[in-house]
Amino acid sequence: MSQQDDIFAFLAGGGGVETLMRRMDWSQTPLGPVIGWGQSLRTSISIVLRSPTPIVMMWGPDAILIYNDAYARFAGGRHPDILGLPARDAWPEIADHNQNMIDICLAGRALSLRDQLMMLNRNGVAEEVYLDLFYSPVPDDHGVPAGALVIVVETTDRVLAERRRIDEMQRMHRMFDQAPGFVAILGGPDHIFEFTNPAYRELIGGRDVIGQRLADAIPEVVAQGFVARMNAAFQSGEPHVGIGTAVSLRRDGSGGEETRSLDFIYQPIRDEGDQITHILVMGMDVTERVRAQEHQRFLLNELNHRVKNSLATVQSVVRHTLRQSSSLKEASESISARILALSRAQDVLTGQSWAETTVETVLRSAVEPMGAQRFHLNGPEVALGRRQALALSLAVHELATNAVKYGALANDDGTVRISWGVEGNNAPRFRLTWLERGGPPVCPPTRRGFGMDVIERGLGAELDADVAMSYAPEGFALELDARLDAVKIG
Amino acid sequence: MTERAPRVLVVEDELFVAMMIEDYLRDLGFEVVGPALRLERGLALARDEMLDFAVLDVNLADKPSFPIADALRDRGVPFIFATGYGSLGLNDAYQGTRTLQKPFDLQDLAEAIGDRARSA
Repeated sequence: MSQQDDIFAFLAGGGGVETLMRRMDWSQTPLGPVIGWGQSLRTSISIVLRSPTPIVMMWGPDAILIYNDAYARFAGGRHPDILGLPARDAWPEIADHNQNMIDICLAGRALSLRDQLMMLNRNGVAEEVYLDLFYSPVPDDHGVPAGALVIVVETTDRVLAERRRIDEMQRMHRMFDQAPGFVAILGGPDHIFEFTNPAYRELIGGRDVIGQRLADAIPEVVAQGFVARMNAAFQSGEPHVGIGTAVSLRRDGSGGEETRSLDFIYQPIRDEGDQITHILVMGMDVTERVRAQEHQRFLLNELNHRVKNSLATVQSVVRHTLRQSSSLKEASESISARILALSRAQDVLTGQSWAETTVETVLRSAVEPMGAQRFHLNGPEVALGRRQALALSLAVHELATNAVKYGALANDDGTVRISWGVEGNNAPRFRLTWLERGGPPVCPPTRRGFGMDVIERGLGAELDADVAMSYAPEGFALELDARLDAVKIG
Repeated sequence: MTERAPRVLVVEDELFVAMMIEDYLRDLGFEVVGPALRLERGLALARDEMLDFAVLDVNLADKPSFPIADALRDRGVPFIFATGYGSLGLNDAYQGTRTLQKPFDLQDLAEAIGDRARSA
C-alpha cells in the first residue's frame, strides 16, 4: 500500500495510539469513517500524536477523545478503552467539569487551570490527582470551533511534596511553639522575621515583628552588635554561640530597656543548593541562673570578709586579754570564755540569717552559760543589727563574768535584773538597765580591764550610746542610753 | 620635726579590730584619733581634725569608706587601707594604695605605715 493510498498516513509517528487508531472502526463512532474527517481534524490529530507532552483532543459536540501515548500513560488502566469515547463516558467522574470546558472552547475561548484537584479512577481506585490543564479551541475547516485541545501536566508529586513541606514546617512551628526556649527564623541577608515562638515574643516584650527586618523590629540590639553577629553567621555559614550574653531589650511600652542574660545560637540554614537562606535563632533566657551565680560569688566574698573579721576580732581579744591578765591560767580561761561568747553571738546571728536579731535573743544567749535562773529579763521586742548584737553579746558576757567573780552572782542569793525599753516618739531612745542585787557588798574595781573596755567603748561606740555605771554598796548598776536607729543599723 | 606624737585617724567598723589597731598604734608611739566606726563620724574627723596619717577599713557597715579617702587625699593626709576583702574591694581610684589584709599584726602595721606617717 503506497503512502498516497494510506488514509491513516496523518497518524504517522503516533506510536501505540497510531496502531490502535488504525485498527479501530471509526464508522461506529460519532466521528464517522476516517475518509470523511476534515483537514483540520487530521492536522490536529497529527500534532497531538507526535507530541511528547500528554495531550488529549475532545472533538465535536460529543467530545470524542483522541490522545497521544503520553496521555495514554497518564490515563493508566483507563487506556485503551477510552480512545474514541465521548468524554462523558470516558471520565464519568469529571463529566460536568469536562462539559464546562468543552462549552468554553466551543465558544472560542481558551483557559488555563493550575494544580486543579480531581478525583480520578485510573487504576481501579479513586485517587487525588493534581493537574495543570491548558484548554485551547480547535477550529474546523470552516474556522468554527469544533473541539478542545487539552494539554495535561500532572503536578500531583509536586503538590504533595509542597504540602508535605508545609505540613513539616507547621509541625516544626508547633514544636517550636511548645519549646521552653525561644526560637525565631529570619530570612535573607536583611534578616527578615518569618517565625517567632511565644518564648521569643515574650523576650522582646510581645512586639509583632513578622515581616520586618531585625534592625527595624528590635532597633536597640543594633548598637549592641547583634545584627553584626547575625550578618557574620549569614555570610560565613559559621554558627554564632553566646553563653550568658547580656542583651538590653525594650520589654514594656515605656521605652526603658531591661538587661537579660541569654544562652543562644545563630544557626545558618542552607537550602538544597547549599545556599544560606535563613538564620535560626534558638536559646534560653538564663538571667535567673546568672543572677544566682553572681549572688553566690557575692556570698562567698562576704563570707570571706566576715571570717577574716572574725579572726581579727579573736586576735584582738587574745591580745587584750594577754596584756591584762596576771597569770597564764587566768588568760587562758578568759580567752576561752570570750571566744565562746563570740561564738554564741555568731550562732544567734546565723540563726537570724546574719542580718538582724532581737535584744532578748542576744541577752538570753549571752547569760545562758552563767545560769539563766539568776537573771530576770524584761523588755519589749527590739530589733538589733549584726555588729550591735556582737557588741551587746560581748558586753553582757563581760558583765555576767564580773557578776560571777565580784558581783551579785558571787554568792547563792544574788540576782541580776535586765530591763529595757524604747522611749519617745520623735528620735526614740533605747534604754537598757543592768541591776545587781543581793550579792556581797560592792567595791569599785581598782584597775580597768578588757571587760570595761568592751562595755564602755564597745557599747558606747557600736550602739552610739551613753553608758553610766555605778558601784553602790547594795549592787552594781549599769545604764545605757542609745538612739534607737543606731541600735538597728547593721 | 616636732616633739608631739603623730596623730593617726582610725576608721574601722569592727569594734575589736578598732580597739586592737588603737592599741597597736599607741604601742608604735602614735596618738589615735577616733576610732570611728561609721562613715559619717569618720568623715567628720577626716575633715576637722589635725591628722598626720590614717588607717581606713574599706567597708563601713556596707558603705565604702572612699569618701573619707577622698577627703584625706584633698588634705594631703597619707593613709592605708585595712580590709578583709583584699584589693578586690578597692575601687579604681585607690587600686595602688597600700592595703593591709585582716587579720594583721603589729609588724605588718608598722611596716605598712613605714616612714609615711613619721615624715609629717
